[in-house]
Amino acid sequence: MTFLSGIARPAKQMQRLMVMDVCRRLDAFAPLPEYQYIGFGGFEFVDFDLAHRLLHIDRLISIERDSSRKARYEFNKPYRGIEIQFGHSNEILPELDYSGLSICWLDYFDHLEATVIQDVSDLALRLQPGSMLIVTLNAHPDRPADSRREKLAGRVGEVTIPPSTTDARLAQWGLADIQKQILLNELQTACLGRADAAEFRSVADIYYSDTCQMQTSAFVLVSPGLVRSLEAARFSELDQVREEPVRVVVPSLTRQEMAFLNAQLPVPPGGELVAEWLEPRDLTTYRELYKWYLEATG
Amino acid sequence: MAEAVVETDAKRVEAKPEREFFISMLTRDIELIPAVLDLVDNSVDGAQSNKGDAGNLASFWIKVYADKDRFEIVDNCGGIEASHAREYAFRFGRPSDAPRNPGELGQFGVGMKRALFKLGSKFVVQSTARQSSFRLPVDVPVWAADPSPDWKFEFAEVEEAQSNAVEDCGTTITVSDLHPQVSHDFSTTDTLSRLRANLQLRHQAAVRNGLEIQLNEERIEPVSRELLLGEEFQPLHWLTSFEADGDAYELRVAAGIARDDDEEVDLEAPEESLALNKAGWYVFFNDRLLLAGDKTPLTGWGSATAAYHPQFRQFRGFIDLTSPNPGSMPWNTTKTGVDEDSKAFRVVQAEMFKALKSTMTVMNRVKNELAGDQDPSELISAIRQARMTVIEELPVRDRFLVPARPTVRNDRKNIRYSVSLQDFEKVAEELGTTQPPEVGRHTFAHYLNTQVTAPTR
Repeated sequence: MTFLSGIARPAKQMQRLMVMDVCRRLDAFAPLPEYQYIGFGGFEFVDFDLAHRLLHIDRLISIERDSSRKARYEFNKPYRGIEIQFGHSNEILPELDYSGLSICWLDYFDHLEATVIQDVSDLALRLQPGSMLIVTLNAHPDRPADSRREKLAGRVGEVTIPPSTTDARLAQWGLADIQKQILLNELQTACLGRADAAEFRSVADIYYSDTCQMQTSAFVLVSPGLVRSLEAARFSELDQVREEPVRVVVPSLTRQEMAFLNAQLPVPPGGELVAEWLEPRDLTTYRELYKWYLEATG
Repeated sequence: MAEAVVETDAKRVEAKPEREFFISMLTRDIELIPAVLDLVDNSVDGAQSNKGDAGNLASFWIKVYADKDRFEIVDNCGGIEASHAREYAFRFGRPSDAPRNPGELGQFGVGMKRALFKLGSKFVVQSTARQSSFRLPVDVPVWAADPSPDWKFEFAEVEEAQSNAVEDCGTTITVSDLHPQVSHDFSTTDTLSRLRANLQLRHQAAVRNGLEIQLNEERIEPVSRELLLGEEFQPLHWLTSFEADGDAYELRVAAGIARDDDEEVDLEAPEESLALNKAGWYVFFNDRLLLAGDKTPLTGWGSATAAYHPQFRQFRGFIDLTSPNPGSMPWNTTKTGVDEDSKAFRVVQAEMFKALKSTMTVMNRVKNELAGDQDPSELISAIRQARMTVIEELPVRDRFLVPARPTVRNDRKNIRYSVSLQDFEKVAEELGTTQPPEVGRHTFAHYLNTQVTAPTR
């Protein structure tokens, strides 16, 4: 079996780094080493490596479905402290300990579907205020085009789809927008039952594309007593946190071109990158994303 | 001056209710059994108020008689003082200055009157309390036909300034001239069975606390509130407090697996189990059972990954929600259902969703490990060694204590196939086992040893 290494996919890696930057701001709620990190590490545990090195989190739990390959997962885990739990997320997530703070990154391969909604709705009731929930989903439009709404309904149920959703609206990144809306609705509905009146606040949305379109949404759980911590986190000041989702597009540049552009960065207010042989959209993209691009591509 | 009086009368617009209309509206939104339960509620309230230092209710009893000719409820739960009857008990609606006892079930001030009007055309309330006694008969059609705007009843007998012994205090309510439908219903086995089941379920805590309740001279027994507990297997049990809409609540949640009767846990034959109807959530508000064996979306069942299936027939979940103010309980006016829109119920619902999900995860593991090749799995063994324990005695924990999941071995292969029940039973009897995995292993081993690895002839 061959697969594209998670490390070799620059857009996905840039997305990971952006998410880690967002997670750093959780230190406004509590010191980051007090958090536990829960995710789906795969064989390479890339996000676990980042969570441990960049966020200094020691309690790391990876959920893997295929227990017949336990030896391979155990061989590949980069740190002794990573605990691997084997089973479907639907079964493992309710069994974990949520008495402390958590960063929970559910990095799914597939589109939003009923089992994902079950996972997030269940977590919405268990996570402690100050925790972060990150969900990555496949956002590639279905085919044929006139079947998009029907297929979405088949995955999540007709009642969860926003009323104005049409096949046309689900084209390009429209499916990502609708999936985000459904997720937020489900989280907010689940939170109605929380005795502490905590609610999820949407913090960041990142759309990226490697082999297919993907989306990542980050939410932080905030109770009335943590509103000041939310303000202190200043998520909105991050470059990757905007009104509209950040689109991660990886410009194709040579190292010589990158060095030339880096020498102009950061651009002073009102200024522009100058390189007349490059496409303007590549210059714009590079200017917005170069910090993560450099780190992602080494 | 005369001119001024005429002007006032001309402006008057009549709005007083007709008694007949009032009775029909009052009795419209209550069914027969909830009406009887309202009367029993009052007696239970009386017992709770008068238990004093005893702590339990063992000295109190309530006897309900229901047949085609009459309905009667007799209790020794303390009686109603004449002054209370005179000022409060027979008013329609609860005056704001009426005294209230914490935890009292009665809340809206209409239960007794509504129930009596629902049952029949004539009723007599006789009561002896510590300081007074009275007898109050009502002929409902006569009362309803009275055009007087002065709404009142009248004692036929009343004595006050008494000093009555505690054991002589109690109330007897007799309803005669039952309405035709009520008379018919009380003559049917179905109604009496449902009434018995409701009495059994709805005053669980009081009955467990010693209160004796009889229906037609048969005692009501308490329903088990127990879950399996063992050294290696511990169910969910937690207590929490919360506030909702300005009211304070205490909540107990217990969920896990129950064994049916004293038999061995039959984890492999779900569809034949008689325990199917017992599975589900039991929700108590201030010790009154609102939901029994609920398996609907109201309590978390029904979605794609949480649909009820016979494999979950041993699920039991218990909710105890209490509040000192019965007016804050998230139930409807007849106390027969929940108010789904209330914040308090949403909090309860969220706790049920969590507990249900966790328990289903364990039960799915049981199913998978039964079908697996570990013989027996540690989880199955732990469950079989567990014992039924009342929920109040369960250790507090928000996650199941269960043995770790077994490692899936990739040097093994599962074999699955169906055979006729008759053939299975013949082979199983020959092998001395009833377990399909054991039959499979024996028969495979037999073939392997005799046909594959047998010595060459």
